Amino acid sequence: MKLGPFILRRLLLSIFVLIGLSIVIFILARVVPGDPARLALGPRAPEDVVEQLRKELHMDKSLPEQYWIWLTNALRGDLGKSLVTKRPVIEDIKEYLPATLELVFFTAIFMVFFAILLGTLAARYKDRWVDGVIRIFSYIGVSIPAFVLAVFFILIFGYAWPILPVLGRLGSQFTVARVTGFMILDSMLAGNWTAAWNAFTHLILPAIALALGGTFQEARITRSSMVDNLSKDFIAAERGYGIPERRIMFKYLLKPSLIPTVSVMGMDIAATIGNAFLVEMIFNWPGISRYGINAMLFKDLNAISGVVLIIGLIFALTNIVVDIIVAFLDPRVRLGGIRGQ
Amino acid sequence: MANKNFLAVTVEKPREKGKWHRFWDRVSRYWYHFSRNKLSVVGLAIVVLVIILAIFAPLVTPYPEHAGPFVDYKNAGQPPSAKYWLGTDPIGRDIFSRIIFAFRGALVMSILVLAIAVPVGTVFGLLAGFYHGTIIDTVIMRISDIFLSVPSLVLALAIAAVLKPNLMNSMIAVTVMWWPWYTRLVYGMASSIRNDYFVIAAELSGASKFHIIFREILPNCLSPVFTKMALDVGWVILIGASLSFVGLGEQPPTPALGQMVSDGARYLPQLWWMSVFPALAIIIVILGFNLFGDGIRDMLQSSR
Repeated sequence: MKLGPFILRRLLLSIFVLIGLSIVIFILARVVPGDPARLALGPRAPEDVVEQLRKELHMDKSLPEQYWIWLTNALRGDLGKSLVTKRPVIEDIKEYLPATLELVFFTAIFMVFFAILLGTLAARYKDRWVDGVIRIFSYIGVSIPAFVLAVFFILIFGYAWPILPVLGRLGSQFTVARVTGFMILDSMLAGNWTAAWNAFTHLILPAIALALGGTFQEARITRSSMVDNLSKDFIAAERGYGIPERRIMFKYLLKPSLIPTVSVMGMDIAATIGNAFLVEMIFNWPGISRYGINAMLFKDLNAISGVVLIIGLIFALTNIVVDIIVAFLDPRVRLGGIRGQ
Repeated sequence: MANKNFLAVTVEKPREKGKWHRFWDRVSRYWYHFSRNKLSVVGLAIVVLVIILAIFAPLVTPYPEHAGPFVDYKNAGQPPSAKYWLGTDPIGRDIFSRIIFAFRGALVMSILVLAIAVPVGTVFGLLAGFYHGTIIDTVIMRISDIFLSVPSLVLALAIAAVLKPNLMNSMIAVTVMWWPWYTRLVYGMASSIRNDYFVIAAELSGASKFHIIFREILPNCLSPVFTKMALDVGWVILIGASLSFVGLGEQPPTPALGQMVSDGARYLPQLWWMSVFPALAIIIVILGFNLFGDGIRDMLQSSR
């Protein structure tokens, strides 16, 4: 199988899954709560107003019809109005999504960079103290929920040792015109490099809080896959040719060893997006997750379904990207169509 | 003179071991594999301690009545001391007692979630694996794909938010997103075991489908399922703490670990003990269950 049909197949599968997800969300937002119209207007609203809203929500039609109307509207970008902000949900999402994407993107970069670095170190110095320290940190890192780490960071860097900003995306002394919504990019576009640096310092703590657990876990996976591959014949052959150890390590060993690491990346990014819901709340990060949490606490059903749907979409896209990277790393997938481990 | 018996070698018959003896043999073999990694033993100690503390919470805590609607403004906001080991909150409740009581909710949640999600997920996985390549396989596996298409915490938060916020509904929310992992795990094994000779032999000898699925295939899938279960307890506690941190779990005045951290975060940095100690409790409990789970995995893998 060539890469083209492979990606096409993944895309089709994702579309199918997203349609399924939309049914689940529809049931969650329209069927489970009983009467969304009454819920939206509150218990004191007069009956005829509620009746009118029910008509507007097409609740007088059958459920499949309702779903069809809801889905076609959603595909056109109409996700209904938010109860809390009184604006179309899609507008809210457009406003808040870039902040979350920026955070998740930097978290992923941090995770990949340190996972590979620490994993390679641990494999190179297998069973020495470096390996032991990384092992212990990986046990602890997996056991600390991201929100707990975030609270610790607030306590340490917000009060005890204030060297890094802990709240928001940008210091209040800066104003940057919104172009893309990505703060660092916007600052750079405006030529305001101090603002860009300031935005970057705001990113550091939330990104570390989100990345830490995944980083050590992936470092462990990288280490064990490198150690496995070290005993393979191709490494012995390269040593036999007299290729320097450093070059074997980075050029020939690392690439095949990264396949398991990248394969779990998809899951770690999922965990990151989930944890972002709490971490954004703590660091007052104006992203889609903080918006989503507010929607959940106010039972803002349109906003909840919009947020879950958009996250499902992002997650599907990241999984496709992860699969493509695996295919790129693993010739067996690229050429043979089997997913090698 | 030829000894007619020179070929007769006395073979000592293996001594019949008693039932208890055999059982003890197995236990000590399991223990050997489990305790080879000392960290697993540490994990076991933490797990046992947490369970005992949770069960006997009213007896071991200094102020059991503080785990409910209790107010004592005279002792409000006390730092850790000999009287209040981990300090008190702004209405005078002992943090230590509340943490111990919060263990109860966390343990009940992980037990109930796994007790429902694991059998359901396993049965679906077995069915999909047994009917591999048929419509049943497609339907079950695509449904499980849908539940895995959103980060699990996001879906759990959404479900818990739509329902009324309490411990029961947060358990429902976590269960709904937990079973597909077991379906996927069991499906992979069941669909390959399905074509093994012993299953085909059973089929040819006329065994019922029920017998084949639950007596032939299921026992061969159990070891990884148990391993995953042991490793999952910590995760369930983590997700439960996350839900209660947002306010979608156990409602006050009943204490929950995540809820205590988020309450305490509002009083930072003055009443730092209010959030730091529950946070440490979360870390220790999850760490304990994770180490314990690793030990169970080593044990089941090496004594197979």
